[in-house]
Amino acid sequence: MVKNSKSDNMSEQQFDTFLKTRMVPRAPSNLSTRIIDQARKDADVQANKPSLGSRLGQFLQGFAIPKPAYVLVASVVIFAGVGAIGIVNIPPAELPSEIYVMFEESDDLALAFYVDDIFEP
Amino acid sequence: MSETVEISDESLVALIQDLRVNGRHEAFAALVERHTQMFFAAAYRMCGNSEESEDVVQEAFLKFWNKPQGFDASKGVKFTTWFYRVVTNLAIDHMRKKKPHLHHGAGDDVIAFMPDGGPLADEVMAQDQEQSALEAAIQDLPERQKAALNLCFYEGLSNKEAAEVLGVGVKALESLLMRAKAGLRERFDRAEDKGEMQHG
Repeated sequence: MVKNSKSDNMSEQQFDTFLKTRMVPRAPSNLSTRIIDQARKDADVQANKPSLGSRLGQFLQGFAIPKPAYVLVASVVIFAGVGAIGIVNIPPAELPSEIYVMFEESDDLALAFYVDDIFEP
Repeated sequence: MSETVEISDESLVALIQDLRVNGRHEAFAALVERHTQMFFAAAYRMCGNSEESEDVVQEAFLKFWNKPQGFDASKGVKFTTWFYRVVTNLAIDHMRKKKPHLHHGAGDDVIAFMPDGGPLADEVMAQDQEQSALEAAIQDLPERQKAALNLCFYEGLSNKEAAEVLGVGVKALESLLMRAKAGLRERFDRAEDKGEMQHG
């Protein structure tokens, strides 16, 4: 037995007409606004993005160390090097007191003793 | 009537693409307001779900905003035709990520808008069932057949334009359309057999 369904009884044209009854809901009324606002935020983020130069500067800043530490490190390197190769012939009586003053100011007494050892005759 | 209504889509797009122009966001806003409903409907016809459709439309517009050079007017394609392609592809991507059972309830968003109660409640209920069955049948189609049907039948694109959107030849598009309609008839009959529809 041939079953008669709704679409079987319809011509092609009638079926097309039926297809066109398909309904679609309306978009939410705030959808446009949300899209426009998000685009503005994206544009602001893009505009405030730092340039390559400033990002490089910020990166190098991370390796910066305070000036007092520079002085300390430089002093140790210089005087340890001088003591090791024996180039400078400065009387121990003059040199160590200056070093002691500097190291005392930085509270690094352990380092002061080390420098003193180097210049022991 | 605001000035931007007089301006064509392609002129608005040119303003958006010129990064030096101060008013490019206003041009974008005009384009969005002009076309949101149309592309929401296109996305809905692919996804069958309001939430997904909103996401698709928003993503499509923002994709264009962040990379406006994606549209090349010199190729002679209308902006809307090109944007249909963006929306259709995004909708297909979204649907591929979804699990199959999430297609159930397709058409429920439309049903929710229908009035209930009153003297014509039986007619309305019959309409509900028909719409639900129709939507379920369409959502059950393979992606490309569904896209072909949506673009030609519901969005009003010509066969040539729809073929461009889908990236196929016109003959291939016509074949997709034919198979879509045949498939729909078959699925519709099945839905009717299950008693999901009332005869008139």
